[in-house]
Amino acid sequence: MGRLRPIGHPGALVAGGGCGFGLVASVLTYFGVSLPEFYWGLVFILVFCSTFHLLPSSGYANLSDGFGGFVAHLVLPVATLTLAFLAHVTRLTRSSMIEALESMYVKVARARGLPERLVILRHALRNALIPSITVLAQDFGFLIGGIVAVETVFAYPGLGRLLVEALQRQDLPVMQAAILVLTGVYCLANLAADLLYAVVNPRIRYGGSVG
Amino acid sequence: MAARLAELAAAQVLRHQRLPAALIVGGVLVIALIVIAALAQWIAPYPYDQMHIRDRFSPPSVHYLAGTDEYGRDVFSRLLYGSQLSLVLGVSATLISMGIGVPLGLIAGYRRGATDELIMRMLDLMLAFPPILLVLLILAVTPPSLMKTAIAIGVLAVAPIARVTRSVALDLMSGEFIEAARARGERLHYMLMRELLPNVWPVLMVEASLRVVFAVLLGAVLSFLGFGVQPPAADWGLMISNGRAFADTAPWISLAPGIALSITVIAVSLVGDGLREVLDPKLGGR
Repeated sequence: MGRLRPIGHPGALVAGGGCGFGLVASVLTYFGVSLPEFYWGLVFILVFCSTFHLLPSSGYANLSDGFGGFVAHLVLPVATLTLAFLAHVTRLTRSSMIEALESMYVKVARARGLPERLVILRHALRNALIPSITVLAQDFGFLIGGIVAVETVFAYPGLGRLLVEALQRQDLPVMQAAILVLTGVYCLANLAADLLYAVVNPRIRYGGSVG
Repeated sequence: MAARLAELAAAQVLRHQRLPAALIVGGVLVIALIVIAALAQWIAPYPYDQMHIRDRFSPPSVHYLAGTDEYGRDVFSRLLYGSQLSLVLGVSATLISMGIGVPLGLIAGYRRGATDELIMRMLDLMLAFPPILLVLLILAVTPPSLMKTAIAIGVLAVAPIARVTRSVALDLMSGEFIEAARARGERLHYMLMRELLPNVWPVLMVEASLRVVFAVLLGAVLSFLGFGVQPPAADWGLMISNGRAFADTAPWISLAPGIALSITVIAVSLVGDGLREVLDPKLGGR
C-alpha cells in the first residue's frame, strides 16, 4: 500500500525554478483533482485495454503464476490511485518549494558556492517536504477510500472490494474486520508521518532525551 | 455574512486591484450551473426517465446531444437533471457540517481549557476513521437516500471545519475588540455570533468551497458503489457506474457525466482559490 510517489517533487522543482512548466503543472493538477479516482480508472481501461489491448482490464494474477502477469494486473489500479495524490502533492510541494527557494538559507547556500544540485536537494527540498508529509498522511485516508472504489472498478480482489461486498450483503463480521484493519493501517500511517518529520527536520525531536 | 466578503471584493475593485481571474471564471461557471440546475425541468429536451426503446445506444446527434443510454434515455437531459442532485448534495452536506462544526469551533476557541479539550478530543476520535469508511458504514446499515448521503458526508466534515474555526477564533481572541466586548460584559452568545463569527466568516467561505467539492466527489463515489442515490435517479456517479458496462461500444454514457462532474468541481475550486487570493493577497499567483 505504501507506494512511493516521487514524481510530485521533480515536478515541483521545475515549477519552483519558474518556467512555463509551472503553468502546465497547475492546469494538469486541476484536472487531476477534479475527478474521482474511479473515473480515471474507467478512462484508463478504455484507453489501455479496449483501444490498445496493452494491459489486462481487470482481475488479479497470482505471483506464483509468473511475475509479469502479477505486475500487469497491478499497473492500472496503482496508476489510478496515484494520479489524485500526484496532483495534490504537486500543488503543495510547488508552493512550499517556491517559498523555500526565496528563503535566506538558500541564498546563503548559493553564496557559499554550493553546487545547485546540493542547494536544491539538501537545503530547499528538505524544508519544503514537511507540509507534503502532513498531507500525504492525511491523504492516506483518502487512499483507503480510493482503494474501495478502484478495486471495484478493476475487479481487484483486495480488502476494499471485500468491504464493499460485505456492506452490500450486510455481512457484519467481515465488515467489522475489514474496517478494523483499514482503520488500524490508517492510524499507523499517521504515526509514521509524525516520525518522518523528525527525519526530515532534525529540529523536531520526540521524547525527553534531546540529542 | 456573505456581505462582508462582497465588501472585501468591492473594496478591492475600488482600490483598482483586479479581482483574481480564478474568482471571475469560477463564479461565472458556478452561477451558470445554478441556473441550469434551477431550470432543468424546462430546458431539458426530454424527461430524465423517458425511454426511447428504438434509439438505445444512439451516439451523440442533433436529437440526442450526448447520445442515449441502454434504455434509450437522453444522456444530455439526464446530465441537466443530475446537476440538481449534485448541487443539492454538495450544498446541503456543507451546510450541515458548517451548522455543527462552526459553533463547536467557536466555543472551543472562545472557552479554551477543559471545554476546548473535550470538544477537540471528540473530534479527533472522528478523524481516526478513514473518511470514506465512516460514510459507507453510516449508509450501509440503513436504506440509502439523497438526504442521508448528505447528512453522512456533512457529519464527516464537521471535524475539519471545527478545527479551522477554532484556530481562527484562537487567533482573534487576542484582539482588542474582544477585550472591549468583555469589558462591556457581553453575553456568550453575543460574543460568539456578533464578535467572533463575522471575523471568522471569510476564512470559512474558502473552507466551505473546499467542502462542496469534497462532498460532490464523495457523493459520486458513493453512488458509483451503489450506496448513494438509487436508480432511476439521474445522478452523475450512478450514470458513470451504469455506463461502465457499455464503455467499449457506447463510451458517451459514462464519459459525459464525468465531464459534467469535472466542470462542476473545477468551477467550485476556482471560486475557492479566487476567494483565498482576495483574502490573502500575499498568496497571489501561487
